[in-house]
Amino acid sequence: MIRAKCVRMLADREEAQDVAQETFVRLWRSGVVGQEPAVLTAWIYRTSTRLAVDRLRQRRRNVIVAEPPEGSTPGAADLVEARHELERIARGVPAAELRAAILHRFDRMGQQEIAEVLGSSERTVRRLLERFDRRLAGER
Amino acid sequence: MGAHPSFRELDRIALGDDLPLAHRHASACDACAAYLGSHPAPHMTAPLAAPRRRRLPRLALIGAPALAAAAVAVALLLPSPPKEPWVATKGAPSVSLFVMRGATLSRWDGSAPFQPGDRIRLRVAPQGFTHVAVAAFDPLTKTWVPLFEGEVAGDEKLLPGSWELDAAPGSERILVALDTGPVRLDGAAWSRELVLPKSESPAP
Repeated sequence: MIRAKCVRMLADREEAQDVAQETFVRLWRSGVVGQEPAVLTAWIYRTSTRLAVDRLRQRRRNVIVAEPPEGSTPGAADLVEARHELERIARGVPAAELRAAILHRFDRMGQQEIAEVLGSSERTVRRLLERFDRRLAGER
Repeated sequence: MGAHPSFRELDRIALGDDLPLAHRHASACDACAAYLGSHPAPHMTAPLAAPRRRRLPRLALIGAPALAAAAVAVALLLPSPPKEPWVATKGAPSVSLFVMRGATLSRWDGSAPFQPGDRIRLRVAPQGFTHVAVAAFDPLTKTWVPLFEGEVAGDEKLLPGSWELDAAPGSERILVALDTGPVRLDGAAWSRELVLPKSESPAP
């Protein structure tokens, strides 16, 4: 589950493996092991997304990973396109916007679920997504 | 059939959550069913790195199985919490014990034998107590050797660090004690002794 989430976000398998490993180590130390699935998955998605955003923002601009998502996943082509767009502008986008955008575009979450995972209000999430969409439109 | 559920909802289903709408969709959607099929409950795939660990005090030096420091794909078992803790009555403090064997993490059922090389962690639900102490029994000196002392605010706390079991014969004995202040092992307000049976075969 953790690895699949990281591959969705990052595509590059080595990079995804690194982030998945770091997420797993933090999970083991976190105190959420054994919690109910809603709590556990929120923690995993929040932590791995933060780590992935750090990676995305460190990538050199000309490194575009076009690898398709692992396995048979719904909307694979859309994921690849969304990843291209996100990688193109990642360094200039605030981390909070990137986190919300990743959860929305790669993990198919709605505003309510994103708010639950990030511990924000739905209003904040809506603003973040709107800002990201405007930014993306300006780049096209 | 409506829009796909989020991947997190599918992951929650894989972990045993009851999400009727998402479940109904997944049962009629090949792509979502394929995703769930690649993440059969309750196993998840994740890479493993070595967590911090300590050995139980009486352990002889043994050839501990090397932890995979490099990333490797492993199975991580995260069962849903049981309805009742296995060492408590309702409303009373409870202790859960998690065991990591190789790369598999599971909650101890209270009776399954441990293997040399297994690493354990404890989760405590203090139910109003504020301090916890953990000790292991040393059969050579016949004394309890402290492993951990600290505060336990909140509903539950996963105690930091892990302890590794050795190949010495016999069971391990762990004492978990709770109190409203610094804990005295011989006079704690609440305590529970866990006896961890061990099999002779080493962890793979």
